[in-house]
Amino acid sequence: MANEDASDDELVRRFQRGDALAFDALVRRHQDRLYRLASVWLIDRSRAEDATQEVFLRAYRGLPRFRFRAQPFTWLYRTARLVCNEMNRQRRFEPMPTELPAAGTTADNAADAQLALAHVRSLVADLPPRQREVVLLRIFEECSVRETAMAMGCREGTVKALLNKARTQLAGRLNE
Amino acid sequence: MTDVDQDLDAIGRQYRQLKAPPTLAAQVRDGAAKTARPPAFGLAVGLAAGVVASVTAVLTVALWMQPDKASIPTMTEIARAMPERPNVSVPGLGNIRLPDRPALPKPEQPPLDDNNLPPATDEAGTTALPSTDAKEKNA
Repeated sequence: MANEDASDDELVRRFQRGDALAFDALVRRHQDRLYRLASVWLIDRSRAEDATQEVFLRAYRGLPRFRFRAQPFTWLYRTARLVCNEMNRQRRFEPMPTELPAAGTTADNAADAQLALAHVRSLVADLPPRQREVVLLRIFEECSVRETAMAMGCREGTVKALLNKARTQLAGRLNE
Repeated sequence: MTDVDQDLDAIGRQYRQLKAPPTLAAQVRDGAAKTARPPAFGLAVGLAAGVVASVTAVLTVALWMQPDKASIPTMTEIARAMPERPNVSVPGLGNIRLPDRPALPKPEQPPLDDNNLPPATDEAGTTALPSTDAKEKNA
């Protein structure tokens, strides 16, 4: 089975056996999602690329000892949150950049994507942290309820309840 | 689907157009290659750390146990502390017990004679003078 068709678990197993291409495939599969999440979480979203790179470097060092108690994406997601929190703590003491660098989008949709990103940031900014996570993963990243629950470390029912509360708040914001 | 859901869906579609820079995978690969160490690297680092720790521990103990000058015994104290008849180990002969140290001579005392007799005391505690009768008897 080609790396592109293999599951995350299988890619990690291949990487643990020394297949570097399997790790490349894992990076290509999750880099966009983690990059977007980092763009939302980071105070200075221009550092999203650095954060994503750091997540995968930690994965490179940590996945050889991965024991499959969770999904690889859950591991990557939590590492990404950790990295972004660390960067945000550092950034509070540094001046913010005035100009945003271009993201990895094409010229046609770059402006729309940046606009949407700013919209998403403003929408979730006022939500409580848990609801913010649910909205980002379930609505904007289109993760399944199960994936969202595993990433957040809670039950699927909790995800649904948080999502309902968040929708009510978001409806108020969108109707303003 | 409600209006809110449609709005969120539209925003989400645009948001998902945001992609990671195409160079990111290559950068991760380069970074990972730099991160990778030869297998012996960890062993070498561990050994070096172990040697440094051992030397530090030995030096610390040695410095801690070093006697200060005030506690070094003098030769006289050593001589006093030595046993009277020490055992000496001689190669081929085994332990040899040294002879007793000769006793120091006692200070000479004048021989006792009548003139040097200590004064006798009677029951009342008074010193009695030597009797002249006794001198005559001896003569």
